Amino acid sequence: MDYVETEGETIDQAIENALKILGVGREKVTIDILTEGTKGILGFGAKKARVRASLRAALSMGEERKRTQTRASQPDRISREDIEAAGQKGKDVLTDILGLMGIQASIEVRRGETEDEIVLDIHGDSSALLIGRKGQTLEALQYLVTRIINDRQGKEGPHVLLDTESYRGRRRKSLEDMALRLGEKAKRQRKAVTVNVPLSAADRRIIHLALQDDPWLKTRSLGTGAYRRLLIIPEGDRKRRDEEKGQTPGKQGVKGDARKLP
Amino acid sequence: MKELVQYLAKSLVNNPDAVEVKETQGETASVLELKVAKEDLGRIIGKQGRTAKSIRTILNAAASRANRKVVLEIVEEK
Repeated sequence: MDYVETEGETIDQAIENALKILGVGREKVTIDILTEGTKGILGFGAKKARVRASLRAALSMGEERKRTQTRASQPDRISREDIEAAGQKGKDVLTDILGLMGIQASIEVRRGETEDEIVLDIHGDSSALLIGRKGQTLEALQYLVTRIINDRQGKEGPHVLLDTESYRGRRRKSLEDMALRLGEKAKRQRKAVTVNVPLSAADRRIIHLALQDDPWLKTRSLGTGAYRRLLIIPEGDRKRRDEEKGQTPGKQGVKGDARKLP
Repeated sequence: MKELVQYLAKSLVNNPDAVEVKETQGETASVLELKVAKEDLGRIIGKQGRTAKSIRTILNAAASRANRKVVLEIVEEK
């Protein structure tokens, strides 16, 4: 497979350098982030970001979109009983854990936003402790409860989510605000913007969804594991073309529309 | 603290009977040594250490409540 490794001050720049060398568009390559790069102090100890860009075997955009669409539109065949059983089991496990942590709390089981979600809402006086720095304690609890109740069969089970004091809602709001802000920045600068913090899959999803209806932006996640980053890419050429023609943006032939589900 | 680790470990592994937790208490800090059956080590550590990290996070939250520090060591059996 053909690939190049490039450096840049930021991941975005490293990617741009790679595209220049390969002489292809962003959609033709797969980017692996090798190192993230740091600014250092006053330029000392600064490390450049390194990426590897590999030419992608032609996976057409159409195909890719179809794949995500079928996944999104297919309702999970997890039955109501399964979800309720998972909620009850999760509640029991969480009650045990909180008890052992010495935390007084009551747990309310409620239905989530989608069919396969169930939310365990913790009411108590220790919510700050339960949430932790950047939600890491709540995340850890959720992960362990999921691991414990899912019987490790590896198949997709109901999603058990933990919440307390509407933390999830507040987190979603702040991620959405950040997504819109960075989206504006990407459009203004006509350059891809990286959300340069590690985010969980659920957090990235919130950002993808927040921007999916914007016809001038495309979002994409690159890298693996702890290095996975979300990229917000402006579709600048089309914008300029439409402006020159004096068309109203967002009418026919705009990519973003294809992504909307019926 | 000890019971918390015991509960979590036993719930995650295939051989709960092989789970052992030893607690060494210092003045402000404790060390917990967790032993599990060799084939369960992966379940305790998890993909990229995620499970182990989660157990430590929860443990630290519980410990901070009691104004203590707790270190969790996962010991491999010979």
